[in-house]
Amino acid sequence: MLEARGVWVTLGGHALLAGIDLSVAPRRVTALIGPNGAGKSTLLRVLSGEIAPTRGDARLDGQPLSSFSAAQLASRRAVVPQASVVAFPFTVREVVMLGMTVPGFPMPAQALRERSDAALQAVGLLAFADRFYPTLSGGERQRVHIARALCQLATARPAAGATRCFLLDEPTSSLDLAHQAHVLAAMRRQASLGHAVLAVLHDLNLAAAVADHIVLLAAGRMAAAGPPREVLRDTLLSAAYGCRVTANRTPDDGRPFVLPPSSPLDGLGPKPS
Amino acid sequence: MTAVSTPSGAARAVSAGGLIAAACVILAVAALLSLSIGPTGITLAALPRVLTAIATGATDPATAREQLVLIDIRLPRLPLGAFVGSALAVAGAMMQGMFRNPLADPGLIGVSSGAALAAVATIAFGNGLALPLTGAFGSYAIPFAAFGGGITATLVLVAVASRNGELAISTLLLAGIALAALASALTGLIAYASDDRELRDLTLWMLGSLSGASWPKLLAVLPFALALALAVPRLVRGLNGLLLGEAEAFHLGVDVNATKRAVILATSAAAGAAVAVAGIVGFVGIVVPHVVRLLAGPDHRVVLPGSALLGAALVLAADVAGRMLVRPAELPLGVVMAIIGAPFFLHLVRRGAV
Repeated sequence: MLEARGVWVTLGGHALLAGIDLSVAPRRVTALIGPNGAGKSTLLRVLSGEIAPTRGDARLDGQPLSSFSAAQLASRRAVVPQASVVAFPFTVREVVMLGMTVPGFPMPAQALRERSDAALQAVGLLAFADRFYPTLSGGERQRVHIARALCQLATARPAAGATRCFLLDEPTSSLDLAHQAHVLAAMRRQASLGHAVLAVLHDLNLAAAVADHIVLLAAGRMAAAGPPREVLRDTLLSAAYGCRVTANRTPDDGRPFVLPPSSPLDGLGPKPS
Repeated sequence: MTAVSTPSGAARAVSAGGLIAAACVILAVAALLSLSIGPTGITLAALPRVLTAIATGATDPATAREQLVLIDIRLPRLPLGAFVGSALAVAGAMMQGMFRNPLADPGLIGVSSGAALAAVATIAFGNGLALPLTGAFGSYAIPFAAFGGGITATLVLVAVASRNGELAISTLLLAGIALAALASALTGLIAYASDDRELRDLTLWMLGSLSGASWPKLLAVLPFALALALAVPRLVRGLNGLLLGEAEAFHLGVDVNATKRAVILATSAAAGAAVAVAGIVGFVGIVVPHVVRLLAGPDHRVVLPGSALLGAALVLAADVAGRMLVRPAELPLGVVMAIIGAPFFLHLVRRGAV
């Protein structure tokens, strides 16, 4: 279990996070949603151990993250950052293989190669393995980092019973529909392996499609948390996003879906034919 | 050149193993040339005979003069030149990895300038303010001061750029540039106030040279060479992680602050020791790691050993060229390196490889 307990993060007198309590459970996909500047990425950075909260603490299986070394944390969680700039021309496979430099687990070269192939296959990039990273598009680069994190999770071998976490910051922001589906499937697969998956998502419909549990942040506070049907509701979303949002239900399985609010277009939108 | 598949499956001009093997051959050739070429000619054919005579302790009157030249001049010069080249190339490669910038170099953050300032001050004030130093260390006062200057510059830099125990890379770079400018200005001030003899001494020292190579100098750098050989391989994983960014390196299990501190310490020890025994030798630290990355990729498992071998080969070759071009006189090493390095660097820039 990955938890935030009364987490505050203040920067220059502003509270980026104000008393967040959150549990990210194993075998579940938790989606973190909310408007720009709500504190989603900051919370993810706290939960990855990258920044220490000003007050409160983040814990993994009951132990404060601050008590883990960087190497211990790396064997327990993998992180896909929002954007990443790779200095110098690595190939795609070399970037992915960096995910397997988690300390303490030397593997034969052939096993490393098979594992990197599997991760690249999972994100639909196997054919790009020998391409140079700087030649890739934004979406392809995003998938390379997802493959790298998948390799990290697959390679690390923490003690039995220890929770492993997969943390993703807007992993689908540059992806087309098909590749969004690839990434959502990869997240579900990691949850089915028993890992705790936490993803910051902007697309509420993707959150509804993939998440077991949704946490809605607004202005650094937790506005709501629960299953998609409970959180993706007109009143909660409208209040959090500051615009009129209508949540509907799909006819087949009753899953919530949200259309962008039409009022800001002020009648300038396309006319229905 | 045909593309080959490396163990990691990357399409590269040469494989990691191929590059290391080629670098070893190039270094061996440079080393042989370094032993056999100079004002006193020892032909390649005669070299084995002279070396055997030295090894067996035989006194062959026919080779006595060659033995003397080899033992006292060429033999210490070979490993010293190799150390200078390796240290500068590896220091450059580590700096570039840490700053994620292909133009980083110990010179950029003031390590070399600090070393130069201390050395120039020792030359200029050798009979005055620096008399205790020259008195205590004799002819080693200048290398000792240079090394101290490099380390001092590093410590000042780390103190300025550290905040809450964290080392901000951008602050480090800015502070380093300011420090380098200050050290250069003070060096200029000392040069301005020097008399003709001092001015010539310090100008020659600034141009870089291996001509002062001796066994005691070699012994003095030996601990640094050993320490670096042990420490640098441990930095490979951290440097590779840092190429993805500091946050990503942390996610991959790298202790980012400890890595940055270790890289700075190793770099200043390497550059400080190299400047101490050979003066200012530019371009090795920038050109060599570039060539290795261009050929075999940016993985530090290849970049660091490849740079060490090719850096050693390049300095030895430049030293041989300096001895050949105007013999019996010698061109300063720094001058030859810049004459080779600058056009090559311009070529890289033109090709868009930088």
